[in-house]
Amino acid sequence: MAVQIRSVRQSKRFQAMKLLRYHRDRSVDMHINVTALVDMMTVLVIFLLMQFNVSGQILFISKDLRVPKAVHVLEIAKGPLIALTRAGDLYFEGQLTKTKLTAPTAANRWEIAELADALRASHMSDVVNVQIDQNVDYSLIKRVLHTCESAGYRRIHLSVGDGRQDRKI
Amino acid sequence: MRARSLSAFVNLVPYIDLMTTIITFLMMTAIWTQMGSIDVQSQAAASAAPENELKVKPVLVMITAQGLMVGEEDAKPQTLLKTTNGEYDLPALKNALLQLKSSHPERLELGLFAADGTKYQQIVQVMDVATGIGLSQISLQPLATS
Repeated sequence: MAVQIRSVRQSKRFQAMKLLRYHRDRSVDMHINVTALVDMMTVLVIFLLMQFNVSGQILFISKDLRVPKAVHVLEIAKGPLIALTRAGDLYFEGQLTKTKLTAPTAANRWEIAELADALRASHMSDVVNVQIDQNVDYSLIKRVLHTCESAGYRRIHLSVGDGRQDRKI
Repeated sequence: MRARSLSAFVNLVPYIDLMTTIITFLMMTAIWTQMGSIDVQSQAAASAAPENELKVKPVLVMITAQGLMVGEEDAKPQTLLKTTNGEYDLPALKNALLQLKSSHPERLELGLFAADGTKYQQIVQVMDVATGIGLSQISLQPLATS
C-alpha cells in the first residue's frame, strides 16, 4: 500500500472562502511548516532545563535584596536559606521570621530565638546559605551568624553575585 | 485494485502546546542572576582545627572605620588607611596578603575581624581578595573593641 501524503486538509468553511474561488476544483496546499518551530522549542527547553538545574540548588532572591558581587566564588551548596534585607527583615526559607532586626544591646542577646528555632527544626546538614543585602551593617550580620553557629551549622555559605564577568581586582 | 491513500501526518499540535507551556514556566521561574557563595567557618569550627594545621599562624585582617589592619598573631599589624574617596585600599591589601602568603605558601587560614558599622559589601570585598590569593579558610568574627 503506497503511503500518500494528504494535500487537502482544509475544512468546508475554508473551502467556501473566496480565497479558493478560482481554485475550488483544485486542491490547495496551505500547510505551515512547523519543523523549525519545533526544533527551536526543543533546543530552548533543553537549554532552560540545564540552566534550571545547574547547581542542584535554587536560591530565590527577594526583590528588595541586593547581594554584593565577588569574583572568587564557590558553587552553591544544598542547605537552608536565610535572607536578611536592608530593612532588617529576616527570612527563613522564604518565610518572614523576624522584622526590624536590631543591633545587639546589653539587654539583648545575640541569638535570634525565632531563627534558632527554625534552624534547629530543619537541621539536615551543617551547611546553611545566607543571603544578606550589601548595605546591611555587621552588627546585624553577627547576630545571624552567631545564631547559625549556636544552632549547629558550622559551615556558613554567604551567597554573593558571581562577578567574574566584571572583574576589577 | 486501487491503492488507498494513507494519511501519514504526525499531529504536532499537542507537542507544540506542551513545549510552549514548559518554556513559559521555565522562563518565568528562571533566575538570571548568577549566584555563588563564599564559605565562612564559624568561630567554633576554626578553633576546632587539628593542631598540626595550626602550626602556621593564620593571617589576621581587621576591618575598622579608619582602614584595614593586616598581620599575624603576636606581630604588629600593618595599617592600610582608607583611600581619599573613603574606600578601603584593596590593591594594598592584596599586596600585604601576598607577602604574608609567600612567607608560608601552605597557609590557608584567614581570621577576619569586622567592627560594627562595617557594611556587608566591604566584608565581601576583603574576603574576595583573600580567597583570590589562596586564603580560602576564612573565619569571620566581631572585632573585640566593638
